[in-house]
Amino acid sequence: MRREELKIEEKILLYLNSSRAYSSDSSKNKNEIATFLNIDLSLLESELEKLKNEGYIEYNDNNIYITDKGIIRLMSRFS
Amino acid sequence: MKILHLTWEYPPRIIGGISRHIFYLSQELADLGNEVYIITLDFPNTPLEEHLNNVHIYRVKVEFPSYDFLTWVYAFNHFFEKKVAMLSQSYDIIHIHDWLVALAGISLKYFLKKPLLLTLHSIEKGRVGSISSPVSLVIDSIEWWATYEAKKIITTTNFMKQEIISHFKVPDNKIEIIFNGIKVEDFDINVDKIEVKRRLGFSENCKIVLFIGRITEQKGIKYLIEAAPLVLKNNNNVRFVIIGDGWQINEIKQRINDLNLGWAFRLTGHIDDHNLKQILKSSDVLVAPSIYEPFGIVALEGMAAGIPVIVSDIGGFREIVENNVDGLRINPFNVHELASAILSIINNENFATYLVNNAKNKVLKFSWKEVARKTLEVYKSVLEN
Repeated sequence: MRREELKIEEKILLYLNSSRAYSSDSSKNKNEIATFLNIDLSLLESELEKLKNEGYIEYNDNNIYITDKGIIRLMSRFS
Repeated sequence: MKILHLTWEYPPRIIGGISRHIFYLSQELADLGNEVYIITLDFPNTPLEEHLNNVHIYRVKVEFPSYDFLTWVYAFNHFFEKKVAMLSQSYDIIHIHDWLVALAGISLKYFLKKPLLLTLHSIEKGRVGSISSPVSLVIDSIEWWATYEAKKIITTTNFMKQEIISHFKVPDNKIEIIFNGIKVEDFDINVDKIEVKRRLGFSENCKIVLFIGRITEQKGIKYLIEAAPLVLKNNNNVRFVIIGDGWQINEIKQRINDLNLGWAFRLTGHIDDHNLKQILKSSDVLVAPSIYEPFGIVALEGMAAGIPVIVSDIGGFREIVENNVDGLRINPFNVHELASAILSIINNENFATYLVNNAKNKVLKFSWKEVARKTLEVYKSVLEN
């Protein structure tokens, strides 16, 4: 059960959570996330799609924010 | 007495057991005439400040973009310190819960010149098995530091006490054991079991095996998945419900698909308390195959709901569940043993009723009122010395 490095999807959730991107008013866009995490936009887009399908983020018109479910999913890693 | 609690989770932010622990403990402490201040993290669509019957909750907004978890933990601890400074209150005691808020707690001990009390609900060595990564090393160090700085440590089982003594070399007399509680009356609700089963997409005469918990390695969910084909081979009428979410969820879904068992499983994700109790009371057995469990409040929830429980023969479960009397204890790594324990309950109604009746009596001993009374005694002993 060794603690592994955070996966890309978890880094995205952590960034959104720590930036308090909780709603469309405080959302982040793809460029901000890709720049902060230093990853390609194409990789980011595929991860965002997966996270959205799982209900961990909301993602409309380039406005991206974390959901309650996403916060709990992220924090369960450290509880 | 004026008590300051620091915690990273408080309802509706429910990650593990700490959230409910502090919710009930603070209410009971207030009922005993104390004033309780809770500093915690904010959560979407939740007020930043709430005042309920002498319990004052302050949810702190932390906006500090972080790319690793520890950076964020350090940041929110500073925000907690700032919040306490801004409130400008005086307290008799500072009570912290687990390593996540230890840094703020230690600083505040010196700023406020008040005794620090630490409840350790679990420790890193237990959660991850060994301290073998840089992150675990940092967490383990913070835990050790907190045990050193705290005047007293509370744990929830003798198992945890022994783990703390052996790992951190803490003197025996510095640690007090106070079991967690359960509000039995919260489970006294009417449930239309047929309707619940229908909502889950199951037939009304099926038998439900339930798992509730974080979907992480620690909770042993994968052993239940591996036991499922053995159960279904004997009784094709059994269905499995998994309530909870966590970082292992995709792996678990994949394994269920690989076994072609999607038809027998329902994964609800994280659901609210009302729905959770509805499903719990409609289930036929609750399984908790954890590989590390400092306490195991889920066993109390099953017992309070009148559902037979099967738990791992480890840690805190050994202090809650008496094998073959008020539940079953199994070796979680042995999926054959887990499967036959499930079948022994599902296929024998008399045995299930026997376990449930005994458990209903046992669970009455675990009350939050008692937790609060004992915690208050610890506060008093700390203040007297």
